[in-house]
Amino acid sequence: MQKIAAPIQGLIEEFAKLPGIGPKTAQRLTFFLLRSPEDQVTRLADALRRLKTDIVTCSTCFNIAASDPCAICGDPERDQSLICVVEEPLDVLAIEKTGIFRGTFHVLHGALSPVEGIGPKDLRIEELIQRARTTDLREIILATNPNYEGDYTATHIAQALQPSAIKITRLARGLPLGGDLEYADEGTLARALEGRRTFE
Amino acid sequence: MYLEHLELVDYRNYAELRLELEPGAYILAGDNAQGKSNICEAIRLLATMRSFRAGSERELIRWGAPNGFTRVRALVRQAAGPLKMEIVISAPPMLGEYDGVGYLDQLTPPAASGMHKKIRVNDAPRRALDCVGLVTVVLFEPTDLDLVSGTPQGRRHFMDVTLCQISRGYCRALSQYQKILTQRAALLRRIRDNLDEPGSLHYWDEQLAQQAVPIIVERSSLITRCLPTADEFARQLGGKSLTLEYQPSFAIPVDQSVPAARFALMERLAALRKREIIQGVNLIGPHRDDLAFFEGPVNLGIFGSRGQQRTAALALKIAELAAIETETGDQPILVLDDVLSELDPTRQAALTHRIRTVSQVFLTSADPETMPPDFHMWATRLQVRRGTIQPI
Ligand SMILES: Nc1ncnc2c1ncn2[C@@H]1O[C@H](COP(=O)(O)OP(=O)(O)O)[C@@H](O)[C@H]1O
Ligand SMILES: [Mg+2]
Ligand SMILES: [Zn+2]
Repeated sequence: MQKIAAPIQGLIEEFAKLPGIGPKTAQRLTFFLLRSPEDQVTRLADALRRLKTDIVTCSTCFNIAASDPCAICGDPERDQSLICVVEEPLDVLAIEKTGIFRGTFHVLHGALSPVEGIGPKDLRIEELIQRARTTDLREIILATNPNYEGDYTATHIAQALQPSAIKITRLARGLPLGGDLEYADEGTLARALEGRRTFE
Repeated sequence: MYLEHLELVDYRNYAELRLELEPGAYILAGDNAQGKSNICEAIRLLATMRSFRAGSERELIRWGAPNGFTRVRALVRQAAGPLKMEIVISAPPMLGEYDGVGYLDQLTPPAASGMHKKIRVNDAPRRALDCVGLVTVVLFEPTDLDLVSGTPQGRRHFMDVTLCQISRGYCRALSQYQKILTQRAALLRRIRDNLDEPGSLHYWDEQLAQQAVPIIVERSSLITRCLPTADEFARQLGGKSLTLEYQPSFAIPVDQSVPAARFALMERLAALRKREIIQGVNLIGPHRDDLAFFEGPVNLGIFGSRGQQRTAALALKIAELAAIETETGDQPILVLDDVLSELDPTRQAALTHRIRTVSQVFLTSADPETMPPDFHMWATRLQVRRGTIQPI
C-alpha cells in the first residue's frame, strides 16, 4: 500500500478532527492548500496561530475576546446592570445580530448535562453568582438553549441566585424546542428577547 | 390505506426495485435469504422511520452501493389523499476507500460516524419524529408470537410502536421521556458519587412526571380499547376468553386529574429518593411497565400453554390493527413476515379469513403451498429471488 508524505498525512489528520469534516473533505482541503500560492497558505497559518496567541477570555463575562475587558464589557454605552446569560460565545454573536440588546453578557461555556459529566463546577456559574453579588444589577436574562440541558441550567442558576432582588427572566418560547440558540433566525430571537418572562 | 408505488435503491440486497401495487393481499414467496424480510423492513420503515431489525442504519445500505446511500420512495393512497414519502439514509465515507487521491488507511476514524437520514413528505423536508405514523403499518413477525412469554421490554415496545403511529404527541412524549431518563440516571449516579446535590433531582422529577403521565394514560387507554377485539378474536381462534391487563409501575386512578397524577408521581419519586440514589437507576415510570394476559384467572404469561400464549399474541396483533384503524380513521397496511408457517391450520384459517377485509396485506412465505387454498384465490403471488421481485 502506498504511503503519503508525512506533512500531507499530518495535515489531513488534523483537518479530519474538525467538526463536519470527514476524511474525504480533509484530503480535498489539504491538496487544495498544497496547490495554493505560498502567501495564501502563510496567511491561513498566521490566522490559526493568532487564534490562540491573540485571544483572551474576558474576566468579567468570560466571552472570548481580543482584550480584557472585552469590547462589550468595556463599552460605557452598554447597560452594565443587565446581563444576558448564554451557553456559548456563538450565542453572544447571535444575540448581537438582533441589534436590540444593549446590556452585557455572561458566557457559561456549556450547559449542565449529567450524562456528559458536566456539573455546576464545570461551568462559569459561580462567577456569575459572584458578579451578581458585586455588581448593581437590574435584570438577568437566562438565554440558555431551549432543550432539557439548557432549561435545567437556567433552573439551577435561578435557584442559586436566590434570595435576591434582581429580576430573573427567561427567553420567551417560540424558539423551537430542542433547538440551538446559535441557529435561531434573528427575527425569532429578537421576539424571544422582547417577550422574555419572569422565571418562576 | 395502501401502497401504490414502492421504490428501493440500494436497500439491503435490492439494487433497484420498482413495484406498482394495488389494494389487496400479496404473497411474497421465495427461498430463504432472498429478500422477503428486507422488503417488510422497508415497508415498516415508512411508518416508524426506523428499522425493526438493524442495529445500525448503515446495515440498510446495500453492500458496495456506489454512492453510499439507500433510498426508499413510496406513494401511499389514504383516505386523506395521496402521500409521497422519501427516505434517504447515507453514511459518511468508510475509511480506506479510494477516492482518487490516495489510499488513506493510516487515518484515525472521525469521532462521530453519524448516519444521515433525510426525509421528504410530498417533496417537503421533514424531521423524522414528525413523520412517524403518517403511514401506518402493523408488522407481525415470528418473534411477536413470543410476546406473551417474552420480556416486559417486548410488551412495552408493542405499546409504544402502536401508540407512536396513532399519536404524534405520544411519540414526542416518549422521545422526551427517554432523554429525561438518561440524564436523570446519570444524575443519580453523580449524586451517589458526591458530584452533585440531591436537590438537583427536583427539576428532573418534574420533567419525568410531565412526560410520564400522558404516556401512562395513553397506554392504559390503548389496552382498554384493544380488549374487546382481542377477546373476540381469541375466541375465534378457539380460546376461551382473553383479558388484557396493563400493569404500570406507577398507576394513575381513572378519575385522577393530570396535575394530581403528576404531583402523586413526584411524591412517589421523593419517597424513593434514597433507593434510587443508592442503585443509580430510575425505579419507577413507564420504562418499568408491563402488560399481562389472562384467561379467566390464569395468567397466561406464567401458566399458559405455548398454544394459549400464541393465541393471545395473535389476538393482540389483530386488536392493534383495529385500534389503529379506529384512532386514525384509516386501515393500516398489514405485514406478516413468515408467521403463517408458524401456525397450525386452524389458526392459519382464522387469520387469513380475518385479514380479508384489510386494505393491503403483505405475507411472506418460503413455502406458500401450505397456505390455506382459498387464500391463494384472492391473493396476488410475487416471487422474491436475490433482490428482485417478479409476478408469477
Ligand atoms: N446491506 C446489505 N447489502 C446486501 N445484502 C444484504 C444487506 N443486508 C442483508 N443482506 C442480505 O439479505 C439477505 C437476507 O434477506 P432477508 O430479507 O432477511 O431474507 P428472507 O427472504 O429469508 O426473509 C441475506 O442474504 C443477506 O446477506
Ligand atoms: Mg425472513
Ligand atoms: Zn466581557
